[in-house]
Amino acid sequence: MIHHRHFSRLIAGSPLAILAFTPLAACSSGGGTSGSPITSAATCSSPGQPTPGPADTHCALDDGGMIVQPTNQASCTVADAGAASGDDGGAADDAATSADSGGPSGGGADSCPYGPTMYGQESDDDDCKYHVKWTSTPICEQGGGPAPAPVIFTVTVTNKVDGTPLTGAATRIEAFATTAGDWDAATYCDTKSTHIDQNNLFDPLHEGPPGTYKGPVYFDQPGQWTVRFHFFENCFDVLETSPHGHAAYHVTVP
Amino acid sequence: MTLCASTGCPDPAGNDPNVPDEARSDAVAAAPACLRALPPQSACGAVPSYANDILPVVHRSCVTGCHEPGGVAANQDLSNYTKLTQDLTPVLTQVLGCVMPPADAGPDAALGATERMELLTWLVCGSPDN
Repeated sequence: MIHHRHFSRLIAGSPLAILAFTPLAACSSGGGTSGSPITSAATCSSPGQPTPGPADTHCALDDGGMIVQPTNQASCTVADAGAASGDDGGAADDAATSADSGGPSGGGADSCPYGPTMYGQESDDDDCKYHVKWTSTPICEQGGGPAPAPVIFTVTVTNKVDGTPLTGAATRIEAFATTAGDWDAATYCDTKSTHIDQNNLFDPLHEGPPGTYKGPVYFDQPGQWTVRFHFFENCFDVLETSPHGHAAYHVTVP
Repeated sequence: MTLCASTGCPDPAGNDPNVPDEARSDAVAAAPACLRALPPQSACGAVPSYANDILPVVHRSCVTGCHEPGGVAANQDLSNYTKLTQDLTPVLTQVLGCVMPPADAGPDAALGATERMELLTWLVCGSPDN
C-alpha cells in the first residue's frame, strides 16, 4: 500500500540555500560538471566503506505501507513562506529519527534542516520524495601531492511516486568530516562540522544516464565523514511538494 | 537595505540552470572577491570578533530581508549567534563555494574579499562568541 502523506519539512534545505533560487523552468535543466577536471580516482590498500548501521526505514509505515511525498515542479518557484505554514505532521521526521540508532530521538531533530544521516548505500531522501542509491570508487584518503585524488561518487535517484529516474536535479554533494557531539547528540543535526571537502565546492554533478549523477569527493583526513546529496537545490523548499530534497550517509574513511 | 528582491532571492553565481556550465564556471572563477580557498589553521591565531567583525557582515549580507523573521528565508533564521551557529556546515559550504550570498542579490549584499575571508576564518576557527 502506498500512502500519500502530507507533511512539511519547512526547510529541508540548507540555511543559505533557500535564497538561491531561480524559478523554474530552471528546475528542469540538467546539472553541470563538478569542480576541477578529474584525472584519476584515489586508491589505497584498504579502502573504507559505508559506515555499518541499521537500514533506513524512515519512510516505512507500521502497516507495511510507505510514505510517498509527490513533487511538483511548479512548487519550485513558490517562495511564500506563509504557504508552508499548514500541515506539519512531521511523520517522516519522527520516523527518521527513531530509525537511526546512532542518534537519540527527540532533542532538536525537528529544528534540523535535514533528516538524519543514514547508513549503507541506499535509502529514501529525507522527505520521502526520492529513492537514492550510491556507489563509489574505493573510499580512500585523497593522498598527498599537488593533485589530490578524489573518490568518485555515483548516485542514482528515482521518484518514489512512480519509480522513474529523477532527471535534471542539478545534484550536488556536500561532504564533511563528522563532528562528535553533532550527529550523535540529543540535538542531532549533523550541521556543525567545519571540516568540509573544500575541493568539491558544491558544484552540480554531471548527469548521465538520466537520473544518475557522478562527482568527486576529496577526503583529506581519515575517520567518519558525512556525504550529503542535494537534489534540486535550486528550488525553493517552501511547499511540501517542492522537488528540493536531500539524503546523507555515514562514510568511514581509513 | 534589502538583500532580496521582492520576487524572491535571486540565483547565485554558479546556480542558474539557464547558464551553461562553462559560462557558470567562468563567471565564478572571474569573480575576484570569491576565492575558493579556506584560510589556514594558522589564521586562527587571530580569530575575527563575532560582535565587531562577523555580526555586521552577516546581518548585511545574509540576514536583512532573507534569513530573519519575516524574510524570504525566515525559516532559516541566521539573525543571532545561536541560530547562526546551529547550522555551520551548510553556511561554510555555500560561502566557500561562492553560492552565498547570491551574486545578483545586489551590491549591498556582496561580500568583499576581506569580509569573506574573515567570515570563513571565523567559521573554521570555532565560531567563537567573542
